[in-house]
Amino acid sequence: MSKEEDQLNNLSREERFKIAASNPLLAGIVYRVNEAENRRRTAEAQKKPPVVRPIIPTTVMQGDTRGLTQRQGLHTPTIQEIIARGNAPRSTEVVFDTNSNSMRQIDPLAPYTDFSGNFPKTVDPLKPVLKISHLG
Amino acid sequence: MTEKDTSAKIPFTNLVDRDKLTQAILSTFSAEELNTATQNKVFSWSDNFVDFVAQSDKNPLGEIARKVRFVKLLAEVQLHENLDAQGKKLFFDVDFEK
Repeated sequence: MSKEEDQLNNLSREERFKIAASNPLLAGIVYRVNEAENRRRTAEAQKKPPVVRPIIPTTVMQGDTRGLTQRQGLHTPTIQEIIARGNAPRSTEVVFDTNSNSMRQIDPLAPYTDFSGNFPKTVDPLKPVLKISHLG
Repeated sequence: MTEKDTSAKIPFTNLVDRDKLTQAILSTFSAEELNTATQNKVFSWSDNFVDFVAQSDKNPLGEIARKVRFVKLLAEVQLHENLDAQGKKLFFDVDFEK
């Protein structure tokens, strides 16, 4: 590495670009320093171990869970209750998506899905809401 | 890198100096690369602008494409600095991380 490359190496990219813009004869050296930095960054990124996300214990319940949740002091709203809520502020809750094995937020007022990605075209108001609770 | 990223038509004005950009290109590209670039019509020079077409069906030239992007950034830095000197601001920032 030449003396100029060594000095440029200690500067930020912005400073290097400004030097090259004002002194274009140094542009080639700045380019080489930048490319070397890019290669170093790529190598460092490849060295880092993959991020391991902690597994959050969850219980997934499907279907009519009103009996269960009432015993636990919770209440699963029915479609009628949700409709009656009207413009009540929406809240989201976190559920465990068994398809993707990850946590995600759902909007309790949005039409539910069975996680196959297919939303039902119509919702039967008499059918209890599919409730998946995160109890962990 | 896509064609959109690297293709650039840079006009020479009092804000982007033709001589400085020419020097930067001569400093960055080797003679062989300049030959290849010329043969593949990567550069199109005129008195008023330089047109880069670094990445296309005719020019799948990775290293040359990266150098074109570098020179294009230098032109943007020149533009910013000259506008700053005139007390003007541009609406975009130069992305130095490219």
